[in-house]
Amino acid sequence: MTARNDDLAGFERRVRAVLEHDAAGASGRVRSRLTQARHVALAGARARREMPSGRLPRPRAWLPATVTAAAALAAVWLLRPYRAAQPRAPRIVTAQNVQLLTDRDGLALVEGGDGEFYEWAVAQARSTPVSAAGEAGPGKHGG
Amino acid sequence: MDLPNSNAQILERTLGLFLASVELRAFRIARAALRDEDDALDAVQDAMLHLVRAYAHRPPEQWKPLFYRILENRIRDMQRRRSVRNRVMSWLPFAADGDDTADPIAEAVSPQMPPERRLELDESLAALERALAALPRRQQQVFLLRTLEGLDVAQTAHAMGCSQGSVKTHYFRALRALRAQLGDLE
Repeated sequence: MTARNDDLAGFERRVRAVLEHDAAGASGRVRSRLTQARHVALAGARARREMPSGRLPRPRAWLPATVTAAAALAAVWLLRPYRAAQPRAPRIVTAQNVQLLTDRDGLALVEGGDGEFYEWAVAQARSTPVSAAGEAGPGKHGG
Repeated sequence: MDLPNSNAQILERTLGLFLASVELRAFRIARAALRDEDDALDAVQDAMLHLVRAYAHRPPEQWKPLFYRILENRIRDMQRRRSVRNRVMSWLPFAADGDDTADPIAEAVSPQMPPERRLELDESLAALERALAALPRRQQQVFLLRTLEGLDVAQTAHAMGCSQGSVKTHYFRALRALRAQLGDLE
């Protein structure tokens, strides 16, 4: 049993020697690539250390700002022609205009431009005495 | 004097020394598992980046098992991906191109050893690689972590994500299988 273990231990030593030989005899290309990899890893650590937050900026960190800016641009672009097509509202709205707009009959008279009615009403008022006009009204309704 | 910055520089230097101390053996372990030099280099680089990014603040004595744990996970991911890719590629009517010609200058090693001894070791290494490749993956990784990297049983268990008893079992089986296959390795 001990001899067997010694045998295995001796074999293990020989294997180790062979493997060490292999590791020591790596090609120039392999050594160069490994050195380069080490420098890249350490440079990454240095960059992280020199960042104020200790972390490299990630693309995702810019996402909210990018989305907000894109949405704002899209809104401006969509609203611009709509606003240009809108009729301009009058700048001054007087109290008289408000009264005219809210009075339906007055507005109809203004819009219709019915001057003949006013002329007829004035003529009737001049030709008919006030007392006769007052007596004629009730008689028509009663007859 | 900026003390926090100075501490960070010391940490960076310590990390650099640690990575330099493990990178070649890590590459060797990854290459044994992945059987591809470029994939092994990618796995080691990923493990380095992950260790520095996520675990640099841990005590340095924890770095080695953590590093090999990351490497082990990375190797497993790459093997899974490769398995899926191979299954897909087997259905396609074309094969991968063979643009893997080695550059003899880049592949050259420094001649610090007598040529006879180097040749002898190269032959032993080739035999060992074949035998290692024939081992189950867990046995292979446990064996390399213990033998090549020199992790103890607890560290290997942490790196492999298994129990210490499992590490001992895998290691012993691997050693016995290699011994049976290689005989007296010179």
